[in-house]
Amino acid sequence: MSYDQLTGQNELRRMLSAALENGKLSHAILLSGPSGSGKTSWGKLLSQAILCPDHKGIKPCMICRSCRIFLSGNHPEFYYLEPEKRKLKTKQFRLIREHLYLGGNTKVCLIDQAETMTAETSSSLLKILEEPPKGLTFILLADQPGALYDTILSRCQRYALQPMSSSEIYELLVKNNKADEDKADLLARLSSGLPGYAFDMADDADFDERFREAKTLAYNIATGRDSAVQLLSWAASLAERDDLIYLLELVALIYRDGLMQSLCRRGDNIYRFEKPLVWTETVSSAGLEEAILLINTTIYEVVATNVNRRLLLEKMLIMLQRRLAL
Amino acid sequence: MAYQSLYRRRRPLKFSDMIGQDHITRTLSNALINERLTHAYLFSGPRGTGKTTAAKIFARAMNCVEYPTAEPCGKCSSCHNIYDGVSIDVIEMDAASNRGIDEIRELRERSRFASGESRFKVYIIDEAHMLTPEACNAFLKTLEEPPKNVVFILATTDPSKLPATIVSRCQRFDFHLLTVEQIRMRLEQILEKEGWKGDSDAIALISRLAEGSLRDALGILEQCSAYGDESITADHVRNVTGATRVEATAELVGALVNNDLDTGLGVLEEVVYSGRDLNLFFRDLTYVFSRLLLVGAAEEIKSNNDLHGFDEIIKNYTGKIERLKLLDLVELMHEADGELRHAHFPQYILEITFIRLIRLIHGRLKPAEPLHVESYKADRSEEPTDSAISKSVDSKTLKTSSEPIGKNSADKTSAEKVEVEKRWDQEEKPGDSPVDNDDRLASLKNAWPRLLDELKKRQKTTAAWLEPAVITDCRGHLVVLTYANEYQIHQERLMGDNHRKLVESVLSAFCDEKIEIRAEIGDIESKTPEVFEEESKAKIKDETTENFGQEKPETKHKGPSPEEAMEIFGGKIIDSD
Repeated sequence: MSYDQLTGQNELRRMLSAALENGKLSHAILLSGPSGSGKTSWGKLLSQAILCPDHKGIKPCMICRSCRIFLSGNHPEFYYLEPEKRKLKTKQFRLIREHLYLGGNTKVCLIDQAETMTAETSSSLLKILEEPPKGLTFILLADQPGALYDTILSRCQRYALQPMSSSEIYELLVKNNKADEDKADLLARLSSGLPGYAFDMADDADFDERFREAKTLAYNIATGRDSAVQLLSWAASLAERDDLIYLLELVALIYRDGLMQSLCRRGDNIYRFEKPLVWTETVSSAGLEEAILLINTTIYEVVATNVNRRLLLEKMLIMLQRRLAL
Repeated sequence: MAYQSLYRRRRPLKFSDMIGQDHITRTLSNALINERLTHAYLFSGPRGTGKTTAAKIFARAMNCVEYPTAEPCGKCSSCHNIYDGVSIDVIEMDAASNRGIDEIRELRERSRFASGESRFKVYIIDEAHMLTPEACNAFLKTLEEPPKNVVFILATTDPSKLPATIVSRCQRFDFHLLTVEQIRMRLEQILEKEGWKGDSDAIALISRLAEGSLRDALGILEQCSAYGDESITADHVRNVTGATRVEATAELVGALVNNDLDTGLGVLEEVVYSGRDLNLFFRDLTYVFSRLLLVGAAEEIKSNNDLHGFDEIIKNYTGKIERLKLLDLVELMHEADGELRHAHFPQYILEITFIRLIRLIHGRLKPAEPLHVESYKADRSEEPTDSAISKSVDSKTLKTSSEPIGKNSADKTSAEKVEVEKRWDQEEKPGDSPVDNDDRLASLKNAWPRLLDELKKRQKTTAAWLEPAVITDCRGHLVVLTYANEYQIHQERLMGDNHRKLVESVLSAFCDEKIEIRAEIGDIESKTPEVFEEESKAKIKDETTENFGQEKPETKHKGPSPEEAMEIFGGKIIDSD
């Protein structure tokens, strides 16, 4: 991931560059932003810049020894931690801890998905985060800074990645020839401000197929045309899929647009290229609200907890249908 | 990297430099002067209030050459050594990483040796709440009767996690969160020392956002100073912390009061797409509502003008929302705040919360604007050829609302809106025609169960008094309720001021105009209350709060039903299928 490929985030770029230039970068930095907003890329770029002796602001020189080792993924002073089985464990941190206390060189420790730290990991980080050995910088990445402990937050300089506006994403997609104009527009709206997400969808050959599937699912639930047995089989097949979250997001998005359409008819929904959502006429807005909240909770449970997906989905589908179709 | 973080660089070196913890610093100073040191201290309190700082100062003071003294001198070799962290007798231990029984055993061993160069051997045990239960128990004996001249200072953010046996062996000091004013004072001192410049607005904002923690405040200040510009402004602070402009909050509250969904959603979109901290935005809103509530409760609060820049909103909207509703509002915000923490779609949650807030205040939403729909359809049909309209819609919704892009179409839509509003007003205005009354009667009857339900949420007793009544007539603003003979007490109670006003407020919200009620005793022609009751329960299943008038009466149940059981025992139907 090179410097030039990271577009947007001008505010962040300016702030980080300024801090690096006048040497006011804190020893503990928190980058936050929704998943897909490019936290990891920015975290790595920042690490590279800190390690590079000839960096210009946040732009590393790319040719010095440090940069070359970094890009090959072997930098000895760069420590990268990511959750193991959903959680960042104290054990993982203890393994690199002694290395961090070894003197001398500039070091960077990048902690991905810091919100998955257990209470113990967080606490064991507190001291070193407040007064780290010389030359060590911590970079924490988190989707939701609110999910971190106050004691951690208070020790970090916080930077937020800003979502891109849909028009910026649209331009990016078109400029990189990822999608034709119609599809780019749709993807830009779908991506909720996340360029990475938009690109993934553009690269996904089955996107149209999935979108159609999501529409069918949303429609069937909302009109109550599926019997309980059919719902259960939906749940069974959904539970097996890798792209479950993706599909649920699409469904939630469709319902949200339905909600907007039934309430205020704002012109900005994804159905500019489709027929309007006719079924919203029969569904109450309160029902749609609950449906979205329900999907939200379900996604959270699927991602963050270790539950039986199939049961979770069965429950969700049945509840959805009851909320929407009755 | 020689640079040290501001909050480390500016860590107070004397008790007199510490702010806001006078109750602690004075006690400790006096203990030092009188040489009445005990062997175990427990410092507890929220993050960034000075626990570790106090522990460090204390350790230096008791080992200073000038002891007994209230403050460390900062000049002797002992003070220097401890400050540099090279003293062999002051040991700072990270209990969160060294939390096991083995580490405590080692500590016990080492504490037996007499101190080297210093008067006291001091162990600062930070994050003490993370010690394992075994470690705590192994520590108890040492903590109660340590070797001579050993002092333990435990620091923790969560004293409730420590076993009572540990706490009871220590002198406990509770650190308080700092007030906004205290943080502001300290920030100004530091600005001066660092030679930075900052607007008083900016400083006030940082003080508020720090939420009582000085470390947070210094972190924000440092980040703002790194921004590069000469002087720190409130805008810098907002960019750094993701705080939202006060105007955005004002617009949203305004939209809420005016039942203006479109504007409200526009504001939310702006907030989301400009990368603002949604939790913070939420907190601002909740703050405004709670303040409105307080202003309503106690007038003298107005004189206390520390409203953190929300003065204007609060002044403008005081009394615009009923107090009962404000309470519900704050409660709803609180619930949604919890959901927002783990939200997968923060934007949707925000939007839904806003819709619910509107519904809470106004009883229902303004119906979708008919003209807008037409233009939307036209917009769609012309889509392939005319992208200008959609562009302008884009820019209107995505950019900040103050930008004058697509002005023409914006004017057009606002003109449309005015027209729609007029129309809507006309439709809803009390026409005073007999047809209107009949319509209202019908819609009131249909919505009766829902209204009862709504009342129940607010005040159960009122709903109970109202339950046997039947709406029999509707004349303009007056709604007549009739009770059967045996319900005379109910009738009398309902006409009492409190109950009557509550019922009137609910009905008024439903009809969008002032409604008065009158309860009478008389014959009820068509339906007995019991039947009504059944119907109402059947309808409550469907949880829609809008589309009041469109529900059709359902068929009646016959024979004993779960509803009767509920009437006797209370409770609600969770699943009736």
